[in-house]
Amino acid sequence: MKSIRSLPFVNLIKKPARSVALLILSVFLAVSAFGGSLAVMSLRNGIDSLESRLGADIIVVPYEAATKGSYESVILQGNPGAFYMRHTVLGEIEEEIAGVEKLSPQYFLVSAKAGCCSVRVQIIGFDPETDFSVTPWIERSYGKTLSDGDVIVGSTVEVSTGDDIKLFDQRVNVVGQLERTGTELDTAIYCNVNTVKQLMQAAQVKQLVDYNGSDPDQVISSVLLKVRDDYDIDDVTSDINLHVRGVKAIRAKSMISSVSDSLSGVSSAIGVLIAVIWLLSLIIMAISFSMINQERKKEFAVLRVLGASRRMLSSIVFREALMLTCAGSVGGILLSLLIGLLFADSFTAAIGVPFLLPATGTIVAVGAVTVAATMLAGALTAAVSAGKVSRQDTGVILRGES
Amino acid sequence: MKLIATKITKKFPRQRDGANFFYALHETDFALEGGCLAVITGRSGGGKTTLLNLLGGLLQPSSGTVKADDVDLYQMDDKRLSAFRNRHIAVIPQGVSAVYTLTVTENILLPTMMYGKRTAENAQRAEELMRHLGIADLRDAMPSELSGGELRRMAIARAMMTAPGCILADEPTGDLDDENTAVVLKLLRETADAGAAVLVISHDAETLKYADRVYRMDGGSLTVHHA
Ligand SMILES: Nc1ncnc2c1ncn2[C@@H]1O[C@H](COP(=O)(O)OP(=O)(O)OP(=O)(O)O)[C@@H](O)[C@H]1O
Ligand SMILES: [Mg+2]
Repeated sequence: MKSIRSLPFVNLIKKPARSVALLILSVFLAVSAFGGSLAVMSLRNGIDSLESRLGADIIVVPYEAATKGSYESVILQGNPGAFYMRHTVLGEIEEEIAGVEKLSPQYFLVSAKAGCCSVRVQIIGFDPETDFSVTPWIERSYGKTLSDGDVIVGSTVEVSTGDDIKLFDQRVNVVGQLERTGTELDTAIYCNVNTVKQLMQAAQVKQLVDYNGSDPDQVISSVLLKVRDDYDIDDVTSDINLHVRGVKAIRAKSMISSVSDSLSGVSSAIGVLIAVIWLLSLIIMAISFSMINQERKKEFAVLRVLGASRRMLSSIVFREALMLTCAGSVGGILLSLLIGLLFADSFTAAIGVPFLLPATGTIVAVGAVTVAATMLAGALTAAVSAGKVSRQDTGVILRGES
Repeated sequence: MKLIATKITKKFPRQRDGANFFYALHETDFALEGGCLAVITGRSGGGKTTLLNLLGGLLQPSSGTVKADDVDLYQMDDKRLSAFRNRHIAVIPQGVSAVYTLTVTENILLPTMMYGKRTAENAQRAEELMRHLGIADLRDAMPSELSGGELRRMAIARAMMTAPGCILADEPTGDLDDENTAVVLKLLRETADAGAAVLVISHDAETLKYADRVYRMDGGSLTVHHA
């Protein structure tokens, strides 16, 4: 030891059990604050991405699909699945329903184990002329419109841009990869209407798919709709359900909000959990420090005898607490990140909401706040008990059992 | 340095004889000048440690003043009193007074590191003191590995480190064998001869041989035994 300044550090090293116990407490504080906030933020991000991803006010699906309820997981989460209805639905809506601003069909096809992929993937075809849902998404990663025979793939499909892959024995060219959404949509393949029709034909030839007995050219899977500002979305929805036969129109928001509702439950549960963990940890920390400082009374008294002022004692206790909580909170943050990275996907699968980490800057900011809050908590609880000890006369403390 | 206590008393809160407090030290005048080695003996519980703490600036008196030369100890704020004690008054507390996270050498150097850095010069002096007190082999040991007598000698070496003007030793030879008792007492005597004011609390008859003055403390009252 070179000077009294290194005493706090020496104390931590020489009392490992004590240090480790307090370190674990700080890790707890940090994991709950950092991990918890990040979880809530990631869920929020996930919901936002679902909403912007959909971009539609109303979704029209075949009536059977709606009653089976399978459409939700297919449209929102991109679980492989397909359903079909007559393509004339498009024209019927255009003619009979007022207040439609935009509408665009989508085509779903589930690939067999494809050349690229060891699992079944969802192929989503859209019409570049009318689409307003997928295109903005694609433009961000690709910047151009898709030509016939081109596909763009989700972030976790294991191919590289420029590769040729075979779907139903048809060769298609991978021209780009989308950003991560945190859902099964990351494993989907997107292409334009001509390409998907070609693939649907090929699938039918191989007798892998049946289009309710129709020709692949005569079917679509869903219609996405945008409602004009001067029309009520609910009115348009019921209008379609009333006038168009064999389909079910669903308000997009209601689809998401059922997810969103359960999510806000989760968020507030996490919030309560953070608060409880902090309260408990703070109490335990305060008790630990007060016990430790009680036990160290004699040591402090000796330092006082040798000429340490009250301030020097406080600063020793303070610095020990700051070092421990700093190390502990950084450790806790790393631990949370590790857990997040390892389990984000299973989390997504479990709750059906994409789990998207916020931007790096936000993560860093949340981390900084966590470290600061944990250090503050440690310093305050340590200071309270240190202050109590050093207010006593040294001569009185010295008498205490050695 | 000259220590002068004027009309000091110390009372502690405790139920005794119907009162809520009792006097551990009745009104006392006491002076200890440089070059003098004074010894206080007396029955256990008589108030010796209480007086020593009062003189060392470690215990606020209930009344009266304690001055070191012309400085009133209890008029100083904590920061100044602490620095003053570090520089001028060395207290060897009764019982064990080691800092258990530091080695023997670091313990001995501790007073010099409070307001300064570790220097080669100080290390040299610590080494000499350890050799003199027969604990040089233990320089890198931790206090938990030391015997009671070794800890005692460590505390004595530590008190000598800053060459203080005043040494207040509470039973410094308590755990020591005859040989080490002689070494320690000689060292304290030499320090007094070099100009320091030295107060030793002891039950040891041997100590009296080195004393310039002997007091008795009983029931909180100090009496001069012989001068
Ligand atoms: N902080 C305190 N609170 C209450 N009583 C105290 C306090 N400090 C000392 N006393 C009492 O004051 C009296 C004198 O105590 P002191 O420690 O000065 O005795 P002593 O002469 O040093 O005894 P010993 O030789 O056993 O060390 C004792 O009766 C002790 O119980
Ligand atoms: Mg005593």
